[in-house]
Amino acid sequence: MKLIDTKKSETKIRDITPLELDALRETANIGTGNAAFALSNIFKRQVTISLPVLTVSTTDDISNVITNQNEMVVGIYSKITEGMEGNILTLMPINAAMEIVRAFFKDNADNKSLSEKDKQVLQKLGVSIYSSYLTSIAKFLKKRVLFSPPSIISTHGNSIHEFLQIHLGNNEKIIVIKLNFEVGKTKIKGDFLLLLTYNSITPLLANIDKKMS
Amino acid sequence: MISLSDLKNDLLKNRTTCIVFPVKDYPILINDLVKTLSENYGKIIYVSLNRLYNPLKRKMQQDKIDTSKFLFVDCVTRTAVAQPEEHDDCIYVSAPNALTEISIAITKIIQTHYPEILIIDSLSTLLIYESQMSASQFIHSISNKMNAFGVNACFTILNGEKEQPLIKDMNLLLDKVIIL
Repeated sequence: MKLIDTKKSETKIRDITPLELDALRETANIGTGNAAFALSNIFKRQVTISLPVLTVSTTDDISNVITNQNEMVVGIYSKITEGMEGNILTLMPINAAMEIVRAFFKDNADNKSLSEKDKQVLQKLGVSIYSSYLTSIAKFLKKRVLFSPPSIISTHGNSIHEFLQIHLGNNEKIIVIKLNFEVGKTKIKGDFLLLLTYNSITPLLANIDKKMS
Repeated sequence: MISLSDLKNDLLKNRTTCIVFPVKDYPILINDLVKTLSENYGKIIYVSLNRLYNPLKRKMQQDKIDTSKFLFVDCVTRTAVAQPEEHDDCIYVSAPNALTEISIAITKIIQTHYPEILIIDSLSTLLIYESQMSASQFIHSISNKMNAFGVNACFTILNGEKEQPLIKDMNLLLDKVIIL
């Protein structure tokens, strides 16, 4: 894996060592337990979160990474505003979003569309997952990591890259940390994606190297 | 299965049309439809409920579509960016379900640019936030407005399970429903 370190106009490329890659994966894993705990608290049910999968991709190709690329999806979307450069996004099909809302309100009504109140529930969920996940990473980095209040977005899975290009560049190289989550005894399944620019990875790797040495 | 050339004739013959896309092929087919419209009409209003103005226009330019014919109503960008950059050919609406804002934006464009056709892409996004009843009322109101102004209207929707009741409704509300 190559790491591009852009400083002013010069672009240096160096390899990420297998050890650094493992450490990066481990860093991504740090927040997983906290995020699962936050979700379990909301739903009062067991939440399973998969081990993180790290992919090097570009903002143009991100649609290929997501699970539901061939259907309409709802996203809880935040920009990382301090500490790192990137986006954080939870994506799910509309049915899963409705299930989340029903599970939150402990409601059996067969609502088929998201009201303003439902959108607020999803935003609250986003704040809860993102703060618990990013706080763990921030502690590891020993720096503040902040994110913007989540927006609720909706699009065809194939067009999701367009949202990521608002704050990141077109065809920009990114590290994608993907986790799948599943809320026990419901149909709620989706992707949790942390997208970091290569520039963001540099201090992260420096910290990993420092801790390992 | 209907071809794009048949589709062109149907669009020209009918004032209000709905095109039902297979979910999987939607990203490719919508580009083909937009290209077909650009080759057969003068000014076009493109109400985008699920794609952002900048990447949408860029993709159209990559596909060699004459974007100078299009006037956009972007209902998506402001859900992710509070104050997007202003453009002469785009009106930003706060959300895909801000139906009054969308309707006002359409009227404003009709009165200033005299378009020949309106495309609303896609009603599947509207169904994420609105009930089937509200979506039907919106379609009814827009098609009446288009009839009054003498502008053709083309709605798009995906052929999903959630969309079936609305697709049935549209057979009553619009001149033609075309299932691809």
